[in-house]
Amino acid sequence: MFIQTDNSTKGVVMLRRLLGLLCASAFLLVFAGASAFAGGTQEEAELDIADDELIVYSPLHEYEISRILSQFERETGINTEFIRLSAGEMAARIVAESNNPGGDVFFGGPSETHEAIIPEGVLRPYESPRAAETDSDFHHPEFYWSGFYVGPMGFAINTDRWESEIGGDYPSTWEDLLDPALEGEVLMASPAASGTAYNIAATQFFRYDTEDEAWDYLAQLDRNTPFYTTSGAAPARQAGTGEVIVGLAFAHDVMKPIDAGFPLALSIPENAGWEIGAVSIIDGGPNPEAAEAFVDWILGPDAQQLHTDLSLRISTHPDVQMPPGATPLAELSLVDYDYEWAGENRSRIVEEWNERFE
Amino acid sequence: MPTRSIERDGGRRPSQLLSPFKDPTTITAIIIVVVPILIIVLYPAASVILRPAAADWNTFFTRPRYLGVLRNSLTISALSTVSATTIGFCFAYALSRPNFPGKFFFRITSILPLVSPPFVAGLALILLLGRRGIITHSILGLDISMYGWHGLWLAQTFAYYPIAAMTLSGVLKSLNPTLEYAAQDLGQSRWGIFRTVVLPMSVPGIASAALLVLMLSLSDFGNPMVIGGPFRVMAVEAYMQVVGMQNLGMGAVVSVMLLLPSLAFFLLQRYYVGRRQYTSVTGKGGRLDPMPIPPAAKWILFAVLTAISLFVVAIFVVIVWGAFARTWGFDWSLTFRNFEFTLLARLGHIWNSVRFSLMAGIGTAIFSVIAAYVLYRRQFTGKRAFDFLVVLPAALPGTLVGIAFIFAFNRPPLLLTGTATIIVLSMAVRNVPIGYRTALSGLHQIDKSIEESAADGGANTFQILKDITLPLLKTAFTVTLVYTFIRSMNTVSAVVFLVSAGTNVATTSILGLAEHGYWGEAAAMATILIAITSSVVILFRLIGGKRLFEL
Repeated sequence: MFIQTDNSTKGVVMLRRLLGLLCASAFLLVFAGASAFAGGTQEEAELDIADDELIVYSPLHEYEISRILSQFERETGINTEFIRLSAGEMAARIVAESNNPGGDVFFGGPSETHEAIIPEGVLRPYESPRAAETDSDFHHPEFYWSGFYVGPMGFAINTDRWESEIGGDYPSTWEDLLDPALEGEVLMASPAASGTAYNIAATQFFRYDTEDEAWDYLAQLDRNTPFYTTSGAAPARQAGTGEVIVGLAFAHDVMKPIDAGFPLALSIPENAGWEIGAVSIIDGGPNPEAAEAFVDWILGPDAQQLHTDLSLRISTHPDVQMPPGATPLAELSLVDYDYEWAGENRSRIVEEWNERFE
Repeated sequence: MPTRSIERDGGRRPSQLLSPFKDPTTITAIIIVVVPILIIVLYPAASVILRPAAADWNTFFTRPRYLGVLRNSLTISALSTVSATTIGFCFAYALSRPNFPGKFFFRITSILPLVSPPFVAGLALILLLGRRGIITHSILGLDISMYGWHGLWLAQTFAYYPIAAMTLSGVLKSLNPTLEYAAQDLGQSRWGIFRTVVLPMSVPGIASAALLVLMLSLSDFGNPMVIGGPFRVMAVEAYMQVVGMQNLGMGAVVSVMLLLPSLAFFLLQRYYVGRRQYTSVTGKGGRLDPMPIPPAAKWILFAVLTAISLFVVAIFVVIVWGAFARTWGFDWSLTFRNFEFTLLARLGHIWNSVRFSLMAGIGTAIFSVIAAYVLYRRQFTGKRAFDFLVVLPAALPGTLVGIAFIFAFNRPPLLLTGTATIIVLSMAVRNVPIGYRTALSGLHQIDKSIEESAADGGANTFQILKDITLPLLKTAFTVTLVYTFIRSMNTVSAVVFLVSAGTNVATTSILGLAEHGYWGEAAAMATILIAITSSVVILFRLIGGKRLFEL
């Protein structure tokens, strides 16, 4: 069976050579094809070196981004393209790309996420001429980022389950969440994963005089929490479907599922935390002038009104009208949220939080 | 007896060992396989692995939490591997027998979970089995949470049994039935035949399938993200470190620690299977029909597979229904509204998904077939290391691949970020191990003596190529192409870091929609993807791919 003849060996070797050659050419063909594909994209990009294009990196909702950007295109004639990722993913990507930045502006997401990547040297400070129109609390002291919306923290309450299983008034203070009847029914994200959840954790440190008291509160809250989600907006949606009775999320993330028809109510507690939604310019991005034009435009009242109407978030600009159903910031009882402290202590708090509760 | 099995020692007899430096074809072939692997696997992996500082390593080993997460990963992967491989084996076994009822239906459900888009299937699972789930709450009146290790186990089992079924189908179909009839003649009971012939002959296939499932479930990110709840695994931890904490060093440490168990299992499998390889197609003698399953076993198997299949179908019904429903999980009245946004605004993303996945499919198929042919049919120094390198990407978590690709390919001479190439490569690299395994198990089935005897019998090189080698590789090629296409259409963890404005794909849209609670639109987008991937599978089956997915 295994007798080897010169003929067969030669045949097999020839066969192998032929096959090798065949496959090699096919392989090269495919990868040449792939490069040609890519080459096309690169050439297109190079044609547009003049600043009539803008690449937007944004964690906002796609629908909002595309409506806002098409308005920007109409008003300025600058073509736009965007990529949507969660704020954390976006930040990781901007840092990883810093050798050769792919985006021009980082549009939206909590200021803390913008703040976190300043030390990496990936953002460029820019003081917009419109910055003076908004309160100085709403931008970075050196203008690494500028805020264009403000969102208070809220409780999303599943009305069906609340009425049939708990009853009475909806929770309106942080202490209300500690009710033993809510065991396993209060959902929040993990501060290690989500800016929303870190905001909740940090709020407790501003509410109490000592850190021990804050940790004590978080430990009690942990008893009512079945687990911690990875996405900051997820708890509101899970309360919507009845997985839990109460979900903690920013008010605008609660308004969305309410709009979609879920049986939810929004309650903004006393001493609520709040976020500033920021826009920043990516250092070394391909279209620096268009990036500045965009920041100037979005900080203006018309663009902010459009954003507020689309997203139900509260604008930082004094001339913008409140979204329907939203309470003006001045009428809310907000905690005295110290962004500098929150940024500086983030890794320490999150590490300890991980140790205690994960 | 017209059949026999040959115990191999890994391939060639010593007389055929060639020094690679004496054979230009071998050198060419090795270069074709090795250079791309070095560039698109090892270089990016190394650029991330070498990042962490000593302090990061210290943190990992001194904090008990991280070791707990590692333990979680190992436990859940072990559970999922056992369950997914068992179910995969049941499907492959039932479909390889002539008298199993409802084969057409089971053929579809044996691979159906492959076409489920990310996140949406997880949402559907919660809708069916969650605390207010249709099955658990509305029908059974239970109040149980799916979030946790048990939900994850279920999700991974369903996600990975098709892979086990695919890997095992080739093996079970090619078992020579004469062995079973011989055992019967020797007085073995039906169970005895299964135990002493079918099972032992399938061992290499089972080990191969189990290893694949193990590597995939260890690096799985999507399922634990959606349904893991309090049960944290390494792939999610790596993601959290990079994305939540902006701590790339720690993310790399966690990824490396996730890689080590995969590596250990891989070596174990090599050692174990390398020593027992059975070839049962020797080209000698005709074939009998496979032995039928005895009635009792048949109906038990039928009941089990029906239950599993109905559940899988239910998940798809929920997704498609959700796409047409006014409010996912709440108001199930029908509407087209969800498709309006999807079709108007995101058609370009869907088209990108299709063309990138197709390119990745073709590239992966060609590369895998060459790699398998070279590494299986040739003997050269360092062969084992190359074999390892080809399978390595299966163990890399997608998030790590994404980040590593940015680091590696964001500077000249390999400036690829923002291009379609980098996305196609990231899709291809993650599927090469499976394509390679498929091609390899195809090659394992046919003894090399067939080629040799064809040559002895006077067949010329072209005839051998045309009649033996190419048909053999054609199946592996098509299966890999279609499989890679399906998986690339549905991949998300690596591409989120690589898409640019012009090269955005459908799955990142789904992710964004699901994240913001637009579940109806996410389901609509998912439904479109399901329709496209299913059509492609059907198309390939119609045009000549008769053996394709014919489990």
